[in-house]
Amino acid sequence: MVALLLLTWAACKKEDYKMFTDVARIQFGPDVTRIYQTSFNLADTTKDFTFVYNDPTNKQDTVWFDIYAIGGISTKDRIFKLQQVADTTGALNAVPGVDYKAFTDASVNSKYVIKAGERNTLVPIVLLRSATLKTATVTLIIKVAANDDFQLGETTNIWRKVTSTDRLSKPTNWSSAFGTYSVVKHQFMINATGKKWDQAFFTAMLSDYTLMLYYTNVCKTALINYNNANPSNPLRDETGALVVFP
Amino acid sequence: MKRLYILTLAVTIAAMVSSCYKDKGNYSYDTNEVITVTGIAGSYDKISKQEKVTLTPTVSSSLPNANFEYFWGIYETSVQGSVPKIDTIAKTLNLDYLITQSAKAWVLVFGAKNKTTGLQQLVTSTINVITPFTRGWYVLKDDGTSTDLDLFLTPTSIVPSSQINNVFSLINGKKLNGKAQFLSFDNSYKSMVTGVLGNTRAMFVTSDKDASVIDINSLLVIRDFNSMFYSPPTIKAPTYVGPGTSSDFFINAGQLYSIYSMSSNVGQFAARQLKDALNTDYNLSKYFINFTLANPIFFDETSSSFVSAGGAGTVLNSVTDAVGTAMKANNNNKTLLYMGIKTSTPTGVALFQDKTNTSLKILSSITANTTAFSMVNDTLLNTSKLYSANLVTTNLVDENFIYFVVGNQVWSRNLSNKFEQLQYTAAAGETITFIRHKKYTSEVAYAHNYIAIGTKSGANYTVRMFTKTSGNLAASPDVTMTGSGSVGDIIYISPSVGSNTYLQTY
Repeated sequence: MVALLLLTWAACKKEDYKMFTDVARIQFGPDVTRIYQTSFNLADTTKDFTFVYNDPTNKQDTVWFDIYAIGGISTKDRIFKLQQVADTTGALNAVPGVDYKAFTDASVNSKYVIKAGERNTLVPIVLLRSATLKTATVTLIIKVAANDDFQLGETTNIWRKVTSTDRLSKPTNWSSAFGTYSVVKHQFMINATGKKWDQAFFTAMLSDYTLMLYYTNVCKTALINYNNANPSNPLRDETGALVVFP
Repeated sequence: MKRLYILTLAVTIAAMVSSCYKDKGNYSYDTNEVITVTGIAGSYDKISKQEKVTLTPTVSSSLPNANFEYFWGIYETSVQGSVPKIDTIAKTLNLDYLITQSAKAWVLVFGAKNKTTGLQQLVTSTINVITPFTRGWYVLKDDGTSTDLDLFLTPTSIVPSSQINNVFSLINGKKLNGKAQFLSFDNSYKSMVTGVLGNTRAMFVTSDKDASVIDINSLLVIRDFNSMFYSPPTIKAPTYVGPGTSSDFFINAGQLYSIYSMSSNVGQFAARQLKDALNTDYNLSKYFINFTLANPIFFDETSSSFVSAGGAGTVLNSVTDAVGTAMKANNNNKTLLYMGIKTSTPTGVALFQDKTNTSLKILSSITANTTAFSMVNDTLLNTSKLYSANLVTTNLVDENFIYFVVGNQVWSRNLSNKFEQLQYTAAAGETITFIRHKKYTSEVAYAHNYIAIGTKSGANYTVRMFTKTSGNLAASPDVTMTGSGSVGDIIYISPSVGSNTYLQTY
């Protein structure tokens, strides 16, 4: 009975405020406008980049990721460390200094800093237009590493992935309204419409359903006309499958 | 220790006793208070920035010594993408408020709260904010080469009191090319007329070589033919533009275009819908059966087949015969001379001519179910008046009649017993160019049910609108409108008209 009463009193005890006492940690995250939207927690995990739309004289370009310091701000600049992790799924791994600027390269490593008074920054990943990219797609998996300033953050957000090529590549927001992706289909769509069909184009198009219907039918009509004009040689993709728009 | 047990037990029992405290209640079973508000009508029409809403309601309570406080608010209806907010416009019993809102329907809210009891009574009223263009008969007419609108104003009754000729070109500085074709209304056409993308009360104005969609509040063109499409067709030959189920449809040069209005859009039509996966040629008739609650029915003149379509689709849908139908819906070797809707079920009427035996004409009563398409046929005798008709229209919903024009005469045909009867003969020198059934029930003061007959004499038109009894036209018209040109279509517009107010038909 006494124990019961003690438990009752204990249950009514006012809880102290919990203060953050952990060490500073570092992790990637969504765009700053999305950080309070849980559905965006894993947004931007992977970015696909192609040099195919760039001017031929352009030999490098930059992909950006958002990164966040966990545990509050600091009065001094804090360095975070990136490292490449090998993709073991069979993808062709990017080579530092060939396909991207190594994270230790002096021209970029000074950018890997959370400034004093700040809690986040943009991480530049400088991709290089290597000869390999004309015939292949390379994969770069980036992971943050612990250092004197930061320990690792949440496991699900301590990595990011970039694919890079100099061929057409599937935009991250490719719509299922256009069916299975293939490079041949992608190029056909570009030729049929005169549009880039890159990520920005998809973003704009998908904001207007009727516009998406418009492009669906333009592509569909162009494909039918192509196949009608080439009845013995209908359009096939790089795997030999017939190109189809649903 | 024993004392501690006793003390603990006593505390526990005390807690249990208190938890079983009997609810003695202090409820009141007096009659509920009733607050009565009078002096506020269901709706008011007001011209923005010119007219005030002046109201002096009477408020009373069923309880004595009521002490009221009041508020008036106004909020927007048919808002897209946000929750409408009430704008408080007064905190007095009487209201004397200058309407400054844009032309559309708004809701006026009056609240009376008895501060003594806390009970509040709310009363709402619709404020139809109007402009000179939001109420009246619009007549689409042409001079043979260009099309314009005449507006017949109806401030107090359905009978016009004045008119504004050529109001389309008066406002927009140009006419539509070609001959007058069709008018329709869409109360949720997406546009930027207010500066932000939103629903707009708009009218589609169609000629045989041009089209525009106009803001009914200002009559300003929102989009012309070219900008109505993401990629405008090279041939301008519209025969129909109008709202359908969750969509707007546009037939141009026999090809179908659509906007899916249940999802984001900017008021532009998508690419031409395909006939099938082989992109087979098709050529839609200008006649259709389209109501906002079902996918529309069209007729492909190339294959002599009925087809349907959804606004979210990219390919026309085929139609399947019902068991026992008198004629195939597909490949029936017919030319469509006329088709119109009769009821929103939807049912309709079609007049066919056989492509091989051109002397064969068939009048079909249609049940336009896309998965069970049914036709009941009436093969016309060549001695019947309908056999020689050059204009036909359906009787909407009412009697099982159609009306048609032979020479300078209007005839009716009872679809139940095939009885044909002369209804009207145009005066010498007048040519009948237009006939349509116009029925409107949304407002008691403006309700009408007319057979409208348009004639042309010289360079001028006359539209006479007749009431009917058991399908038979009155001896003289209720409403007569005259102007220059030849009539292609007419439509009555008011703040109460919406996308599905009318059964659209030729």
